Amino acid sequence: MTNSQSKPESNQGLNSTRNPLLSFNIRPHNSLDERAVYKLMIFLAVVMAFPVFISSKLSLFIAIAPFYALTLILFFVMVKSNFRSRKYYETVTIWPNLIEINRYENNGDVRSWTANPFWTRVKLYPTNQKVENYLTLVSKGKEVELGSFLAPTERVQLKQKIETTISNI
Amino acid sequence: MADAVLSTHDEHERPSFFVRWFMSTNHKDIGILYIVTAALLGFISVAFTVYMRLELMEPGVQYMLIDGEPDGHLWNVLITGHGILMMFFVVIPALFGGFGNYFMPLMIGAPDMAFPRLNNLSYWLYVTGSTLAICSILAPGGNGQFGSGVGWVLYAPLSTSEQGMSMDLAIFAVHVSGASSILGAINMITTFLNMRAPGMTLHKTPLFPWSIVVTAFLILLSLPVLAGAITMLLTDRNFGTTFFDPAGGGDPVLYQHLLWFFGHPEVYMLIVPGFGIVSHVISTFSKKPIFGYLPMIYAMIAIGALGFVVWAHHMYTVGMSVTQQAYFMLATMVIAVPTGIKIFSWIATMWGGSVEFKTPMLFAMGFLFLFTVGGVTGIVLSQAGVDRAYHDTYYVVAHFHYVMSLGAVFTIFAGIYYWIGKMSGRQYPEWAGKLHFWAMFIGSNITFFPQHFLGRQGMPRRYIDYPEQFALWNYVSSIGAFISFASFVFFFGVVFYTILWGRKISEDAYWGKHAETLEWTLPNPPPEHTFETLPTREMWDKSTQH
Repeated sequence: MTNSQSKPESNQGLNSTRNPLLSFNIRPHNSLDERAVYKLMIFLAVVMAFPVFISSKLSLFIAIAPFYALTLILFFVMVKSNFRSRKYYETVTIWPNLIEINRYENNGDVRSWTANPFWTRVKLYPTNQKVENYLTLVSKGKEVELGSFLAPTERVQLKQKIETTISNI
Repeated sequence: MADAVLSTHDEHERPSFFVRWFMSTNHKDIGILYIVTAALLGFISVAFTVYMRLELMEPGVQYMLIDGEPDGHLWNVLITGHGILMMFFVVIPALFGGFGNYFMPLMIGAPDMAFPRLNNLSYWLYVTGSTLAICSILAPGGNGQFGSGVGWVLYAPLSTSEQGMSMDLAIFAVHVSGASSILGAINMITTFLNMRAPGMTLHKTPLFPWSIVVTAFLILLSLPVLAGAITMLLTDRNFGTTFFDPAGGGDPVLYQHLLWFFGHPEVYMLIVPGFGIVSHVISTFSKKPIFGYLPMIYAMIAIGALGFVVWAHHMYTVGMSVTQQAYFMLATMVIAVPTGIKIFSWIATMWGGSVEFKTPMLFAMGFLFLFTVGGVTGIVLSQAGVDRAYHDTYYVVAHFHYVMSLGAVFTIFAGIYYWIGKMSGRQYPEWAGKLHFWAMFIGSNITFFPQHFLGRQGMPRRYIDYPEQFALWNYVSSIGAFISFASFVFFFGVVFYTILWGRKISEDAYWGKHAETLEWTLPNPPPEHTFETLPTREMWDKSTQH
């Protein structure tokens, strides 16, 4: 396993030049489409403009507009920051002689783990007291967690998907 | 990714008492803090009214005297303090900050609020605001006495000419409270929109989270206007501007427009979270899913939207044109439609259900009755012609107390009795809850129903004294206030007893299988960290099981 601050270039001597047998990303669940944020901002701006512009008084505009603008900006920054903080994801790529898992953190860091599929086991701990269906990959005595942000049922599906691919190699 | 380490499921150290309650970022702890602080401030605020009702029990001034003369300033200060505390620091913080923080994330299956540290900041800004509000009562103010007596609406020119720093402190209190509410609203909206459990679409989200997000939008859209208005008050008071002074080209009526553009949505901020609570309580104790789920959601949205276009019905007497009055009259009456949808949907939920009259259900039904009475008198007051006669009389006092003091506060009690077992792990004695309900229901009706008669007789509000002919119903009203206050004190006793010695409850969904939102899948009380693993659809979507 390697921990690095950037995407690793090496695959520790294993050949990954061929097309992978399996490759997918796992992302945490967001219930809002990020594009909807912009629609929401437009809606809020229009509604906020109503009381600001309905009065012809400049003094009123001066008094209210800054507070509305501040609220709008704050709202936008906060919602975007929430999306940014939930932008981490994991990639799983399996070649006949290599498994590579990368975790992309929201701050740009990438942590990678590679192993030979022949020597890799997929382990599911259904009775783990803290986490239901705790999923790990084990190779050379090292164990790494996968899909911590997924629902328990999704981790079961993930296990089956990886196991099927490995067993067919 | 960690090597054999549960990077997102790691053990959390149990925080010390100080860290847990003074530096908390946990939504459940912050929710409890909001409820406890609001209860404390509510007690202070209600104590003011008991003193006021004691004074009004008989004609003449018996208690509020200074050098043997009636102390009208003290009276005004108590009215102002009661209004500001109740409107800004008790009801909204309890419902929106308290129950919203605790239960909204749980009901949507989110592990916490979107911005836990911001949540902490919101709470402490609220504490700062309420401290400023209390300081305002105790600081040098008008008439060379302590406190300011301008009413919670802070109308200019009274508020711009009131002496002393008390008025400025009150304005700062509202400012800080507004900042707290806006931050809280942004947090609630982000959490609601982006952190719902997989599969929980907007049309599948429970009604309480919906009520919280509607309230959050009301806060977001109306509080900046209040912030602007009271900033203008501040500059008029301290920097020589004349926004509200006709001598300098200003207009005091402008302040009223701004205040009520915020103030009417404020009424819905108080009551809409209560709508959410009542929906769950009625559904649970009728043993039926809520009737008209989608209309209930859109009725809340419609009530919120209409709340922004009816503000001037609070100020028919300021000299608006007949056309303007006609518009505000009609727009106000339209609100009865979505409100009616909700009332009838609640009744339809109970209809044919196996209704169980536990304490939360009693409070919910009490709310239905009281809110309907308050709503009906609201329709009466919405008519500009009739309002000419009732404006600033006790009829208005009775109306808004039925809607807010009784309606909203009954939903708070319904929520506390409904969820206290979930929050504390211990259940209240049912007889005590029922005793509290009946004493409160009877007491508050005896307090406020006669005030309709006083208003119809023409008794004006905001006075320390009244003529002999208003004596009877004032006496009755005061007796009712004492009964209500006694029941309120009893309620505190019930809560203390429950937390310390209440029966422990082990069953997660202790109200039965019809309590089916996600908080009922958790132990009592829930662990410090919840839903770190996302809940599955089977846990919250029970629609196929009925």
